[in-house]
Amino acid sequence: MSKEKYDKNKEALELSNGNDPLVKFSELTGIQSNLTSYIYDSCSKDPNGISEKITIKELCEIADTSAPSVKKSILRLRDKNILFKGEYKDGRGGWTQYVLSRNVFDDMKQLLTVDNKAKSSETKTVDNTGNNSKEEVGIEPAKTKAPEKKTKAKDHHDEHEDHSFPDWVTFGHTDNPIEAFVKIFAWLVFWTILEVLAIVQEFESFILNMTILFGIAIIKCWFICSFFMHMAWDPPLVNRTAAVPFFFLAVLFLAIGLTTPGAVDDLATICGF
Amino acid sequence: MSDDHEHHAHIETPAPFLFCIATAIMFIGLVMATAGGEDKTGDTGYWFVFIMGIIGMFTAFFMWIQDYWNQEGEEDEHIETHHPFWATISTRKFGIWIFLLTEVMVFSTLLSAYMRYRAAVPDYSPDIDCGLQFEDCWVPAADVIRSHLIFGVINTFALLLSSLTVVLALYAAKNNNPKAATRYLMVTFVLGTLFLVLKLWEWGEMKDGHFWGEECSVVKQDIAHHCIAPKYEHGFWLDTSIEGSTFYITTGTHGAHVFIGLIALLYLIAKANKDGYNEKDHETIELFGLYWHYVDLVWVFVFPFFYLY
Repeated sequence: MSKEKYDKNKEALELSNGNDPLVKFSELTGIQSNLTSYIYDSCSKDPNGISEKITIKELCEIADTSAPSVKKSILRLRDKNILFKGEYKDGRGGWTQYVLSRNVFDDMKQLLTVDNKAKSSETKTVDNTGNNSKEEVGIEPAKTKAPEKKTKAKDHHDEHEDHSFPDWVTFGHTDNPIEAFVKIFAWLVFWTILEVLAIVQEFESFILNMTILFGIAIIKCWFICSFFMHMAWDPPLVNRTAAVPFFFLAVLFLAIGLTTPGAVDDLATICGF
Repeated sequence: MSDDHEHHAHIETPAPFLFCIATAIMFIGLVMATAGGEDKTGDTGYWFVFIMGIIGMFTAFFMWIQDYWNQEGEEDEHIETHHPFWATISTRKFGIWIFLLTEVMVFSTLLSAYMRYRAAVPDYSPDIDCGLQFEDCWVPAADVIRSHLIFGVINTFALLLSSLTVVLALYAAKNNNPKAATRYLMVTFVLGTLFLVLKLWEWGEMKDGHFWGEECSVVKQDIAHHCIAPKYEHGFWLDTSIEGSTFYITTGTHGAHVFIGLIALLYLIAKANKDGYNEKDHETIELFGLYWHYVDLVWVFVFPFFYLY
């Protein structure tokens, strides 16, 4: 571990000891409660109380929600001095290590001890009656919820968080999204220059001209939509919503724009004008 | 709903609704004032409706700004649903996508109308008798602009670059660098302004007939060499020909979108100076970015079809 990375975790540990949480763990609900429980499990494995390297994908699965919701919840937890961000890595395969507030960590430890005692006594009761297995009763920690929710959350948020670009687009692999976006801009400039040069050539064929112009426009459109508008990483809802007007585009261009004038002369009669 | 939203008060403002109503009134007034009445030549009484619509738009707009100006943080409601497919983006983001869909319809109407008109009139060919003024042939705006093409190219690069700077502003905000985010937004504003200034100058040049080329010889009908068609010798404007109408209406509508984007940018820059966008509150830049990229996207199609061919 490098010195810089060590310092981030150390700083988080110092903050976790020196800042009192604004709320108690028991006051948390929903996503924030689930995330805190999961991070607690991870922190409790380390003698210093530093979590493992946690990805947004894991947290989405645990909380069964979208990446933006998880990120907002994490920020709220940090605002409440419950979580402190340690070492992290941005970009493809990004992860973060967290440290829980010392007070919250101790509270949760105590709470879970009480819960486990209650669970074991309840299990004993059930075993005596012989009706239920151990898994069906007692308090389930957040960790045990993860496997059953994996199928729901899916992986479509991973790329959104990673902002990974195809290697051919960025002329080789890059983890720096800024550099990748500059290269996308370079692609757009390249296609624009090609477009202008093609027209300056003055090809006589109408079809050739239209193919070049439409073709390059669609390629540029793909670059802008996929990367600048984030559609390559957005959830399917966005892509499917954006696909809706294509039906109307087809109607407008094929039924009106590209028809011979006579084909629509009767529209006025049809519409009753 | 989770407790994620407990610290974010939602502003329930009627301003957007009022803005829409006022816009509708403005358009009804405009259409009726210019093409209403029994003889379809316009009913001047409707200019009053038009002005009332404009006043309503300004009032609603400033109400809107005022309501959000003092808001700390951003709205972060997600779509409320039990199905995970729908709960993946915020309501604001879904809203802006729906808005963009309607915008797609606006520009596809203009472009398909252009194509329809162009299909109705034959392009110039030595085999066709185009008339003394070339009035019976389609002389595309691209031929008129050919001498000024460099400004169209500069504008294209300006818009593409401004799309990049919006993305950089978003990433700067996400990385907790509000100053850089503000700077990138300002650069975007400058590039958008450059686009509009060049556009207006270009329009002025064409309107006054300041073309950089020779006039066509009517005898030879050599317009294929991009000389100036006789029908444009006094300039190329909205009412000169159907070519002029389609060109100015389409590029004008696009320019209006750029202008509206600049107004939104001014708000963003002012808000960024006041509060600063950061890793927690940056969705507004993302949503503005979607609009701005869409404006760029429209230009990707307008440029080749009006400036190149």
